[in-house]
Amino acid sequence: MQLLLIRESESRIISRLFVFEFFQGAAIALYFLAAITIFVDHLPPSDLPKVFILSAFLLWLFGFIYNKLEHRLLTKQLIYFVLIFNGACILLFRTFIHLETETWFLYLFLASFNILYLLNNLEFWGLVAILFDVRQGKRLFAIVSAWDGPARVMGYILSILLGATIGTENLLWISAFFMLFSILLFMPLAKSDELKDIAPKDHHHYATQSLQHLQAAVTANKLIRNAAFVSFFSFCFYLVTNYVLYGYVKKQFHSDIALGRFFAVFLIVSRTLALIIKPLFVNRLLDNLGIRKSLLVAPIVLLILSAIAIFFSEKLIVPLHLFLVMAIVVDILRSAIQSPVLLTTLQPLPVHQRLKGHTIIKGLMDPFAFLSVGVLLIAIPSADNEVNLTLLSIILLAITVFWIFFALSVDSNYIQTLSAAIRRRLLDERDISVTDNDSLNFLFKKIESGTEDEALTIIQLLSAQTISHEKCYLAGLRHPSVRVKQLTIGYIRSQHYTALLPELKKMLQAPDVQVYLPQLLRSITALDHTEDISSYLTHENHEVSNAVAMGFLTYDHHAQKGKAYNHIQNLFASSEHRHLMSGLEIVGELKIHEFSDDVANLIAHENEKIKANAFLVAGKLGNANMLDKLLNEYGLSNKDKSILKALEIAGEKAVEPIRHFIQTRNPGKTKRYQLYILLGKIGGDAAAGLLQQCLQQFPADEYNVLSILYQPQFVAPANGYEYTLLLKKNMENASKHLLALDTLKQYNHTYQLLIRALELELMNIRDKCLFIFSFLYDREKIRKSKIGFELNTKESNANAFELIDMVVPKEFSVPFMLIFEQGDPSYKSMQVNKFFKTAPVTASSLINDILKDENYQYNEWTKACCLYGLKSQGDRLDITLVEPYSKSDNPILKETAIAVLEDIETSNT
Amino acid sequence: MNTHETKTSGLMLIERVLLLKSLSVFSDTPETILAEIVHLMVVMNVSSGTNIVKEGEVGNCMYIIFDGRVSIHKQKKVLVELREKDFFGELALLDVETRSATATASTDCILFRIDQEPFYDMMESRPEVVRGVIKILCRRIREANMKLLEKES
Repeated sequence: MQLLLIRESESRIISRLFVFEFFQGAAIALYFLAAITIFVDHLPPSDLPKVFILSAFLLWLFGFIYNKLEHRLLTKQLIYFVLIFNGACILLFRTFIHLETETWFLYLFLASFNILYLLNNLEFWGLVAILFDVRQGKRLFAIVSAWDGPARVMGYILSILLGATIGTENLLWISAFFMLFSILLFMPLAKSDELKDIAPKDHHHYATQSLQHLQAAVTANKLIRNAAFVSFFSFCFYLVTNYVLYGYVKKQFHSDIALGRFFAVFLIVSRTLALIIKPLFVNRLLDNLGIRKSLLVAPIVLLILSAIAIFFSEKLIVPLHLFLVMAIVVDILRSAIQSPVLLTTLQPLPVHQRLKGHTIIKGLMDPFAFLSVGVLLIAIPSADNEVNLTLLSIILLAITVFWIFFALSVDSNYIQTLSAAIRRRLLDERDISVTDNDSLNFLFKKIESGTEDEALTIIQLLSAQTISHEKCYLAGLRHPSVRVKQLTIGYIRSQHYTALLPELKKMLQAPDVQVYLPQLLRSITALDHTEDISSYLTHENHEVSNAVAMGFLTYDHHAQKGKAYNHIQNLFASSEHRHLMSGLEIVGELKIHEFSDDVANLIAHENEKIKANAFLVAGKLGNANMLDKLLNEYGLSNKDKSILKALEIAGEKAVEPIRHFIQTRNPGKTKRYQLYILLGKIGGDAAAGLLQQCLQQFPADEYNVLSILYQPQFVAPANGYEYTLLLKKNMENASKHLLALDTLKQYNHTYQLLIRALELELMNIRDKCLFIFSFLYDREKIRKSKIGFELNTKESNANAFELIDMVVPKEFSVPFMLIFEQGDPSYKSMQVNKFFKTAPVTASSLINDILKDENYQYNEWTKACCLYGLKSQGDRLDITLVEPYSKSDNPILKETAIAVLEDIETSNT
Repeated sequence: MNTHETKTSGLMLIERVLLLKSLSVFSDTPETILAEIVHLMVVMNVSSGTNIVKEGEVGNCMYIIFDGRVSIHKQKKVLVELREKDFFGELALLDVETRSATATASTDCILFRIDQEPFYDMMESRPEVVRGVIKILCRRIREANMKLLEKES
């Protein structure tokens, strides 16, 4: 699975899709074989054009119906509908197969294959589009689609194995069984979360494109239009050759078994060849021939075969065999070469247009081709039901001429679209693969002659492609823009292109070299460790001398290294700020620990900018001494942000010093929270270990620590027992809050603020329970339920509780739901009391409990609300409970406590 | 601008939290989080007739009216008259923006100002604070889309 870029979380759903697609593919293959065999066995090929015309209208009709249903049914209902419809259709034709002597029945029978195929495609790809997002689609669509071919081949093999024994028409039973069996296979997919909630109003963006929208796309974009024509003419060619092929086959084979066997072998050969050719040759063909020539392969081969057919038209048997060859060749070349190449040409289009283009290439033009070929074949005069091969060969020749014309147009449109995409900077190197020579040469020329922005876009695009970059970078170095040169020089260094070293050295003499000299020298010294450019060490531009020093530090040669060290020492010895900054830059980038003392000195520098940079470099060096220095400074200046950033850069090395800091310096709650966030950013086992230690040590930080441990970079902590205890403790506390809320409800007006604060405490506990659930049980499902609670709609809350009910053992899920589901507090607290025995609460005992902070550490906001409530009432209360808060670190609590004390004093006097 | 920063709004910090909570932009933010924003609120006493923000000027703060009335206008055309518990310039908390209209104190006002930079710092540790502003932003985008669709149809 990893080889196929399938992630662990996706493997289950992909396997299910494979099996689902396999059975449907095999069912359709068997259905087609039975339909075509019975049709050819009973009717002459001259009836085929009428089936083509009927197919065209049925395809439009069912496409329209599907589009309407898509907006009315839930996605899973729609898929069930299609599967049942397809299964019922197959069963219906099998049940009424005794009507096979009726022409209308046979027309409908064969044409219905196209409907089943269309519905299967729409339903399956609609499902795939919902299950995977756009980014997954890029990785997975090709893998999922690859299973269709083998499924069909399997269907054809089955028909050979069973056709003779059970009879062609009875293949339909197997086909129906496969189709209906796929309903069972769909059931687990239908239960998947992605599909569960997709309602008609939600999935309009997954809907098939309506004909009008596609028409708009075709008319608006030349590339899509011409690609559609290529698709159209190639399908026309396919239909005409098949028309002749069926006639030929009818003459050669006289029983339905023999016919069926021929069709099966024919299809197995063409499908297998297509399956082999596609992965083996398409990319190579594209790389070697380019898009233009690759697109021309199919029509030119078929043009030659058509011409030969015309030449031999007098000798009946030769063109017939040629038609057989053409039928196989066109089938293989269309699916194995033309479709993938056409899809490649659409890459430079914006995403929405590209998707429309894909739909067009993958079959929108088929009904038009059915109709056109049907009408054309009916219009051709035939004598005694004999096909006029000469005329058909000429028609095929004409079709290939149009085909070639539009293939050439596609190529020029592709280049224009690519140019436009470059101009508008729409290209993303992850979306496009340019490896064919024609396109590459076009792009190389564009780098040389294009504007600065165009050249920058192309170089960025090509640097990510798996091609030889030499020509690209050479063109970049020759571009007049300095920015282009700088970018190219950077790529040459990072990709270690030593072949371009002579070109780089030549540039040292260029008239504009001063502008990009630092980058140039960095690249030259990175590529050639023998180049002595010491003279630049004393260059007036400090960026140049720094670049040389940085380069020399990577050399093995001691003399050069020594010069670089001297240079850095001089920088640190200087009083000029720019020199100090340069020294820090070099030491930070190359992590030179020998200069740690200099960096440590600069941590105490009076200039804020130098100080902040020294922090960052200390983080980059990350040694114990530097980290101690950083933590010593933490909280003493207004540079905490830079210190935290530096500790983040130091990564796991910072965890132990942070542990030591927390244990020995006793930082306040706010500082601790900042450090927890930092540990979250650092991640890893050591950070998780320290967070868990803090969880035990600072109960007041429970929420903050758990919320950090909940972040995806941490794996679920292993100490399940401790978390279970924590969970019980939190639920017990929640039940107390519930009881308190029930008590305060009687004094709703008086304690309004406190009631709201207690509700927040409850929400806080709910979140803590969710964090712990995610450590103990199915993490992904708990995440989804948390999102549901955050959305806070009636439906999302209900779904969230459902998920909890599914995943969490009853011991915890039942009280969780009792406490947190909407409902009357009296009833809820009565029910919860069955799980957690709670002593009765009065308003004054609750106030004492909150302010004493003994049994449960209430949020400071809750305490402030409690005090504020007392202030506005002027209640008498124990002054010793309030006094400590007048010295609180929390400004709100402190201010409120002082106000209450003043009130008490006033009322006493 | 005839304004001065003062500490005489008479509101306790806890009351400022409740004031923030009553604004639509922060109505979904828990009070525990708002409690951390209150110290970013700067009190401003503004005399009647003073321009608080001027059209075209770059803005980087939002204002909450605690007392008084503020007129939002483009030159002489009054777009809206804001009162107690109304606010303006909230998008400037997320992005520096050019003010689209002028805000003038119609009466003597007490305003609270929240500046962008400390708000940004707060967002780093408490992303919840920005949720309300994002919601408003999304609602405006949806409304603009609807208007566009209506116009197209």
